[in-house]
Amino acid sequence: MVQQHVDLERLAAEQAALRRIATFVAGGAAEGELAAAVTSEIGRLLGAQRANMMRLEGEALRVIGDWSAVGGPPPAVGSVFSFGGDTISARVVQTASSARVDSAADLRTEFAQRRWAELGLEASIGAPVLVAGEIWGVVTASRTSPNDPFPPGAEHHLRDFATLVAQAIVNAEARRETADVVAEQSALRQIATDVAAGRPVSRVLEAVTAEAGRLLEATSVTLVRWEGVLDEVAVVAAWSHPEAAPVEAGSLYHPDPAAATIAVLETGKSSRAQEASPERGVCSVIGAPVIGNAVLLGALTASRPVSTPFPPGAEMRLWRFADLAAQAIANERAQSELRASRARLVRAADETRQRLERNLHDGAQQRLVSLSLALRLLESQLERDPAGARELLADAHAELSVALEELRELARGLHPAILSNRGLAPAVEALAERSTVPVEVELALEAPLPEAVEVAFYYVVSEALANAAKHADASKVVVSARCVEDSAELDVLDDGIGGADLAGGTGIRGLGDRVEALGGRFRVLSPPGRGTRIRVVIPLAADLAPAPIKAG
Amino acid sequence: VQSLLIVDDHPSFRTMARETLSRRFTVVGEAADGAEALDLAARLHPDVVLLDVHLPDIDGFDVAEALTRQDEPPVVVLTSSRHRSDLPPLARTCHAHGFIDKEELTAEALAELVRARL
Repeated sequence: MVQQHVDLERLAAEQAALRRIATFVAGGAAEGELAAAVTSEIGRLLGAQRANMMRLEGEALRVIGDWSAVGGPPPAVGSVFSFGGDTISARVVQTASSARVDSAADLRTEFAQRRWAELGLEASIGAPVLVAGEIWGVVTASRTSPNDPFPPGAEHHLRDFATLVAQAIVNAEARRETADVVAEQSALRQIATDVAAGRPVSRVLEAVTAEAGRLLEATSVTLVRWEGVLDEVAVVAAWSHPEAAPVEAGSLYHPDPAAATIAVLETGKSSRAQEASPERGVCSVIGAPVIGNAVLLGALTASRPVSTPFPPGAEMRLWRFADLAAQAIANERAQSELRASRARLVRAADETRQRLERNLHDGAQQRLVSLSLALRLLESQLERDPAGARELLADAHAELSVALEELRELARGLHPAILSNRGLAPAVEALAERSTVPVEVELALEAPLPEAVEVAFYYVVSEALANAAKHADASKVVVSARCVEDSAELDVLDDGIGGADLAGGTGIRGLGDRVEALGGRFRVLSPPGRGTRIRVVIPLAADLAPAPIKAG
Repeated sequence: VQSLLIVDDHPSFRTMARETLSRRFTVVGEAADGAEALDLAARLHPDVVLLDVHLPDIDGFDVAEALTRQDEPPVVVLTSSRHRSDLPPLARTCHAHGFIDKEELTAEALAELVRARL
């Protein structure tokens, strides 16, 4: 009955002590504060004069908590010692279980006996702190009065207590990791929102480097653009810890061949390396590829002093930041390509109008001016010189025929009437008939295509036939079109000399812009000596209305 | 009868202009561009030059200025198939002595302009 009462009292005290420690841990206490609380609770619970908490670091133990009853020796927090000999902590580490020593005579080595004498110890118990099955540290309690050993089983109480302390440590670490993951996810989400909102790419990259640096606890984070040659990169954005040497954005540099940056650029995968630089000394560096639209754009690297390398898996975390950077860069490129293509479309339209004005002015208008002069002349000659007048009339008639033909040609250039009146097939047939190179037409289109698609196809065929006649030295051209699933496809093949200059031809470029404006793809294959193939695929989106067929 | 040089890059216009104007002028030459115009004017010393504003090489206004800097400069009359309002105001202040719309070109109209200037 008495024993039961004592046990209950002890249990209650133990639970209260653990609650205090758990509250302490939950408050995010640092290791030293936790150890101070644990040792003072142990000391009081077990009626000890000293209590210690040590952390195992490789082959040594570091004292992280040292409690003494009033009047005891000064605390030894921070001291590190190897656990050779037969000390209580050595026994705990070696057996991974609790241990007890009831008198100096029990100690089997001289080292341990000397140490006991120094510390004035008379009895000790110890137990391991096991985290994930590994010895994380050791807790000990000691008494300093002679013939006052711990009661039987006290070492087991200490072990049970240590188990609960270990649980508290594990929980705290898990909580810290969860908090890290939450912080990282929230940073990534914020940046992703910025990317989606089309924030300026420089802002996004600034956030990527700063957030990656903060969350990976790096000294610096650098985003480099690959300049096309393997050993030269340009710094696009950089962040560095306020106490670290800054990295200049915009600078070009040549990374060490063994550097993480080079490994990323060579493999397209994440990497880890040690790098030495005059400004930073030796660093631990991790790198991740920046890949946008399946193209390797550059690398994101983070560095830390070599003494505290990045934890395993940090490369993958960095990669998630690199992916956001890639997205932002790819978006920006798509935007600027779109702007360039719009500008080209506008310019092409302006140039077309200019050409039309010039053609009208130099062609039909000039001929009509001459005709007007001729008619005036005719008026005055009619009576005076009938023969001359007849001749003048014949000339005027010829001039008028030419002017009419020129006007017809111009009107066709403005917009082929046959296309809007009769549709694509007759319009392409008409082009084929006018072509100086024989043309085979195979159009397998059941329903009329959307007007914009028909116009695009028409101009592609028109330009391709003109090129085949002018530059390709072709003897035959095949024009074919078909609908495949939700797209319309057009192919124009010739058997000419190939080697068409795609960059130089504004006509070809303009056709590409026209097709891409409809969400389509435009490809020209023109290997020297093997003909030219132009392929156009345009998706038949719902918002492209079919071509209305008008009577004409 | 005054001598005349016709400068225009369209042969059909030059032919009609020669026919139209030969009743009052002696057409001494035809030029198809600015360089040829300056060359012929220096050699033939025409009294009058009928000068198209739009020439393939040198701008008609510049040709006019060069012509008026010659010794014994000719009377320069600009012409164009564009309307007067489509031409820069320079047409009124430059070195030419007059402007005539192409479709209003008659020997009388040109002679009138030249007489006003001489």
